[in-house]
Amino acid sequence: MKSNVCCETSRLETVAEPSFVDTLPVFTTRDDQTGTRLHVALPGVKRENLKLTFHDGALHLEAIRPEAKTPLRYRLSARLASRLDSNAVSANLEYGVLEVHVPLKAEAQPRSIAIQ
Amino acid sequence: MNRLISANSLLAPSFDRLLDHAFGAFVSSSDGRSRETVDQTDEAHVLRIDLPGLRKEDIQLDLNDRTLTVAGESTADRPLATRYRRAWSLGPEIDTTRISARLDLGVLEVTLPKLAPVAPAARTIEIQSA
Repeated sequence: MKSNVCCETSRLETVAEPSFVDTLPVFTTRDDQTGTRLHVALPGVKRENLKLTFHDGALHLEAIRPEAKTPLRYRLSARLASRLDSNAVSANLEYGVLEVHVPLKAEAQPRSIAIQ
Repeated sequence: MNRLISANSLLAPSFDRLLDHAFGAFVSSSDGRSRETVDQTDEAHVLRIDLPGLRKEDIQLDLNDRTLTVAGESTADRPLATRYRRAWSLGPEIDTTRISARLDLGVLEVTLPKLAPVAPAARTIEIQSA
């Protein structure tokens, strides 16, 4: 009986994690007066399989595209300029494209100067 | 005349990029072309084409004399604007009357059902005398 327990444990430990092919997604960036917009092509990716984080001064994206033959993992990191407000990042996933908007910090926004 | 202030540096928006270029580990890089896969089941071939950013109305799917053509184009003002056109010649095992397609998460999935195999009718073979 003891050996059965041993074998059972061993079998559990060797369960392989799904292996992914890491892929850099197609992306574009566009700067304007309000900040920057990042568009990333993520076809086949569901919202729940997408993770967007900010740490060490950079935006990190990881998206899993589970498919029978070749599961893909899209990965992209982008360092943000210090004048961008990393606390106000917004993102929207539509038609297989992720749009991330990072606004400029308030002090970096364009403003009118009153003429005395 | 020496200028005290450069007009450009005051008026022009900053040209340095706000986002640094991508970094991080990757094995393969997308080259911009749409990825296509074909899977097969007992009942059908399933063609999947990555068309991120395209909407249903941007895609034209035509069948002409057993040639399937997929054409898609987004307007230039849209991010990741793309143009795609490809044709496939369908084999005789495809039932062209039952082809269907759906677009989800930027992936076009075209299902090409196979014709049901015609089972020969059971019959008795008559034995002829010599």
